[in-house]
Amino acid sequence: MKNFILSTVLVSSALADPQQPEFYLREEIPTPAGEVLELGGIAIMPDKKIAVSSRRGDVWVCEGAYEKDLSKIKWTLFARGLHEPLGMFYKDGSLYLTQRPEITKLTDTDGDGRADQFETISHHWGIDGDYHEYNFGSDPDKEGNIWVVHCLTGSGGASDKSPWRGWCYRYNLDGTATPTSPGIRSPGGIGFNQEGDAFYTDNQGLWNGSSSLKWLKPGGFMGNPTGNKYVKLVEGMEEPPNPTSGSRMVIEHDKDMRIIPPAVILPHGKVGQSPTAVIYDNTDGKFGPFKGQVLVGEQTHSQVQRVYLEKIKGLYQGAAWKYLEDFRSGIVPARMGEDATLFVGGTNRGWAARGGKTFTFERVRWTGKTPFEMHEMHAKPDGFTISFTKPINAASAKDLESYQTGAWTYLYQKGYGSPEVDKATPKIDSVTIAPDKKSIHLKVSGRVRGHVHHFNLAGVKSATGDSLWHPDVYYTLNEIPD
Amino acid sequence: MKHLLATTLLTSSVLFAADHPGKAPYQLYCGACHAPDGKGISDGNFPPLAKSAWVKGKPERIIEVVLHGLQGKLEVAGKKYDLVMPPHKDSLTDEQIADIISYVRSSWDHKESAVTTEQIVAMRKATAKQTEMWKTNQLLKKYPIEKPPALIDLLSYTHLGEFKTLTDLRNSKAVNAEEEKKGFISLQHAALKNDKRDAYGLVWEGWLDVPRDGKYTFHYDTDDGGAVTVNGKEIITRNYVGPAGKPSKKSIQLKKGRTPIKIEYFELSGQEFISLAWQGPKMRKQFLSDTKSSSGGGGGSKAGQSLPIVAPAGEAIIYRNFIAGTDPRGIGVGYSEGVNLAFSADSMSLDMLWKGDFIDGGRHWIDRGQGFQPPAGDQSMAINRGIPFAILESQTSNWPASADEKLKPLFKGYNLNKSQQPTFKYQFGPVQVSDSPTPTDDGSGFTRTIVITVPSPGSAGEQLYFRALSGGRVQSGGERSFTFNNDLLVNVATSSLPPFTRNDELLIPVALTPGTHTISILYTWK
Repeated sequence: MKNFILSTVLVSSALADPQQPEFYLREEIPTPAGEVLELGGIAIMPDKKIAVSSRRGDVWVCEGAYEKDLSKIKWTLFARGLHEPLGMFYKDGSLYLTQRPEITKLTDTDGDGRADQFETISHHWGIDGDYHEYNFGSDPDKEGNIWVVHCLTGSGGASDKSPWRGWCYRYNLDGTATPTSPGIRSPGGIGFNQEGDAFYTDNQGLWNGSSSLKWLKPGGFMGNPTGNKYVKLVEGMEEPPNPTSGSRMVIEHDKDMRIIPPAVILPHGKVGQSPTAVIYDNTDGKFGPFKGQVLVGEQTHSQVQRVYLEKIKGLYQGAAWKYLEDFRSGIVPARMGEDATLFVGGTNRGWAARGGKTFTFERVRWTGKTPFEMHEMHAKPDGFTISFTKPINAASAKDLESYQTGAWTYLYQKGYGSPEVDKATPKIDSVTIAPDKKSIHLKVSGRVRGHVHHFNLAGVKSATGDSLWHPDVYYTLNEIPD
Repeated sequence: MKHLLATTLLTSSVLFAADHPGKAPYQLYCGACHAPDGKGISDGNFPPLAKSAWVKGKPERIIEVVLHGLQGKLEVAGKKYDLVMPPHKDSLTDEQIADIISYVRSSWDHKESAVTTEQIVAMRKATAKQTEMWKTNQLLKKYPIEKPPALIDLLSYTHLGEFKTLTDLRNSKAVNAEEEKKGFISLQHAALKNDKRDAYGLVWEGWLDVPRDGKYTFHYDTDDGGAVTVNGKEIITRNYVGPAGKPSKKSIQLKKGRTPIKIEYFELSGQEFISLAWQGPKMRKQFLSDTKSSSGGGGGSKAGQSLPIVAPAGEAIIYRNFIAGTDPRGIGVGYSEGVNLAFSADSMSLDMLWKGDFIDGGRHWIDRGQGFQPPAGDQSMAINRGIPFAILESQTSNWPASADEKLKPLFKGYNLNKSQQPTFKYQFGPVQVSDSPTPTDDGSGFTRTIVITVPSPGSAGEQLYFRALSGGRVQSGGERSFTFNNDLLVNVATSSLPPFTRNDELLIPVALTPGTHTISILYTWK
C-alpha cells in the first residue's frame, strides 16, 4: 500500500486533480482562430466584456466569456503592435497597460471597436534590448498609482543603459514617478491584498533561495542588491541595504530593518516553481469559503495557489496552500471577474509549464460545494491556530499521529537559489479544539523564527469523515507574536 | 507516523528500495521542464533528456550543465532550442545532484555510468572559476557531443568521368574505395585529383539501423543527379543534370533491424550538392549527409522559424520590439504599400526607411526572444540617429549627441487613422511635435508632415533646427531637392525657413515664434 501511495503522489503531479471538479469548474475559453494569444494581462470591461493582452503585443476584447455556452464567444481585435504588455486594467473608457517601454493608455475615440489613441503615461525607466527586462504593472491604487516591478537585466544584471531595473516604482496616472522599493530580482506578477497593500511575486534565483510572495512596503528592500547602483543617478538618494551573502533573511532584517523578508515563501518545487499573478478573492464568498484571501498564479506548475496573510510585529507573514490546478498552460495573469468568475491565462513560451499547451485562456467557477480545507492559519505566541471550512472530527484532530511537521529556511545568498537548510522538526505538544469544532490550536515547541513551517494534516478528518482536499500547509514565520 | 506526506515521500524515497534515490528529486526539481518521463514537457517543446546525447557518454558535460547552467541555441535529437537552464550549484546539494544525474543516466533505456557525490564535489572544485552560465558553443567545445554513426559499415566508392545519367555512372568502374567510419555521406570524401571538383561520381553502400517496423520517408537532394536504393529497391531516381533545391521524397515500409542502403551521386560540372535525410515512426527527420537541404529541413524545430509580419491590405501594422538600426524603444511600421519605417521613441528620430517585406517576428516570438531583429526588406536607408531637434548657437555648431535639459525629448504616444497609420506625438521641452509619415500611393516612398507647436517665444537669438538627414552623403539638387547616399530623393516641400546641407546632414531651421510651423518632406527611392 505504501508503494501505491508513492506512485499516486508522483503521478498526480502530472495528472488531473480528481477532486477539483467537485468544488471548482475549470473551463477553457476558445481564443480567436489562428491567433497566438499568450496572455499577459486580463481586464474587466463594462457590459460583460473582457480584454486580454498577449505577449506578442495584441489586445483582444471578447463578449460571452461569462455565458454558459463558451462556443458562442465573440472576439474583436482592439490593438496590435504593443511590446510584451504584462498587466492591464480598464478605467473610465480606456485600457491601461504596462508594456516593455512604457505605460500606455489605449482609447477607442471613434467607437469603431479599435484603439486609435495610444497615450504614453510614463516611460521613466530604461530598457537596453535584453529580453529579460520584463515590467509587471498593477491596477491603480487609491491615489491613482500604477505599481510597476522592473525585472533585472537578464537573470542577475542591471545594465547601465536601463536604470531602475530591480526597483518597484509607482507611476501616477498624472505622470509622476515615485521610487518605492529596491531589491527586486525577477517578478512574475503584482497586485494588492484586501487591505490595499501591494505585493509581488519574485522567482527563485540570485538572492532568492526560493520563490515567494513579497510585500512591497514603500521604502522597504526586497532582497536583491543588483539594482542598488542606480541611486547614484539621483543626488541625495539613500543607499539601499547591502546584505551579506550566505546569511539568513531574518538575520539581515534584524541588522537593517529596511530589508523586508518575503511575506510567504512558496517552497521551490513543493508549492510551484514560478509564481506570477497576485489577486485576492473579492467575491464575498461567491468563489468559495476563502473570501479576502490572496490567490497567486503559478506558471511552471500551471496552478493557482492560496495564501492567508497576517501582520505580526509590523511584518506580513502567513500560510500557503495549493488550491487550483490542471490549467492547460503556465498561468501568468489572473483576474476575478463579475459574478465570481476567475479568469486566468498563460503561456509556456521560454519557460516550461505542466499544462503542456503553448497558451491558454480559462475561467473557473465555484460549484457551490464547500471543500474540507484548512481555512486560515495564525501564528500564536505558543504555536499556531488553524481554522477549517467545516467542523472536524475531534478524535482525529486530537491524535498527534494525524500530523507531520517540518521546518527549514533558505540561504540568503548571491548564488542561484538555495537548498533547504537549517532543517528542524517542530513538535506538537498538544491540540486544543475550539467549541465550534472549526478550529484547532496547536501548541508547538521547536519553532524557528524565519523558517518555513510545514504541517501535514492528512490524519485530520471532517465530522463527516472527509480528508482534507489539500493536507499540506507552509507557514512562513518571520515573527513570533508576543 | 501513520500517514507520510507527499513531500516527505518525495525526498525520502530511500524508504522504498524499488525507486532510484534520484527519481524523487528529479521529479521535483527537473520534471517541470524535462517532464517526468524525460521527454521534455509540452510535447518536446522543452529539451528531452531521454535518449539525449547530452546526458550520455562521459558525465562531466551533464554535471557542468547542472552545476553552472546553460544558455544559447542548441539541438537535441534534431530539434532546435533557444532557452536557459538555470544553474543549480547553489540550490541543490552535491548528493541531490549526484542522485539526479545518476537517475537520468540510468533511466529511459540509458545505460550510462552513475556519478558519485565525490565526483560532484570534485567537479565543483575544478570548475569553481565558472561563475557565469555556460554558453552552448563554449561547453560543446570543452565536451563535444559524440554522435552515433547514422549509417553502419559504410563504404564509399569514387568514380571519375563526365556522367550525365545514372547509366553513365553505373557503367564506370570505381577508382577508389574507402571505409566511412563517421557514418555520414559527404562529398568531401570523393578521392579527386588536383581538387578538381567536376566530372565525378560517388556511390555509398552501407546499412541503416531501422529502430522499429513502419513507414520511413527519405528526402534526397542533389546537384547534379543520383539515386537511393533501400532494401534492394530503388526508391528515388534523379536521373538528370541540374541544380539542387527540389528534394525528392519517397516512403517505404521497413522492418526493424539492419537494412541495406545504397546511395548514388554524380556531378558533371559547376555547383555540387548532396543532402539525404530520413524520418519514420517516432523518429524525427535525421540527416545522413554532412550537408543539409534547407527546404523542409529541421524536423519540426521552432527556434529559427520565420514568422513574417505583414500589413493587411489597405492598412499599416505596428511592431514594437527590439529592431536593429533603431533604439530599444523602437517602433516599426509596415505599410501595405510596400514601404516601412522605424521610429525611435527614445530619441524621437525617424531612423530608418526600407522597402519590401516589413519584419520577421520569429526572433522575438519563439522561445524567449533575445536580440535585435533587422528589417526584412531591402533598400534600407538609415536616415538619422539621435535627437532630431536641437537649438544650435550657429549654423556651423556641431549637432549635439544628447538633448539640452530645457529641450528634453518626451514621447507622448501616437494616434492611428482608419488605415492604422500612426501619427507620432512627442515634445522637445515645451515644443510639441506631431509627426505623420504617410506612404505615397504608388509605394515609391513617404510623405512626412511634421507640425511643430511653439507655445511661447524663445530667448532672443535662439534658433531651433530639425535634422532631416544624417550619417550619409547629402547632395543638393536644387533649393529644396536633395539626394541621400545617391539612393533616396528628399524634397522639402514645405518649411518656413529654407533647408540647407552641411557635411553629412540636412538641416531645416524652425523659428521659435509662438504658433504652429509645418515641415513637409517627400522621401522617394531613386
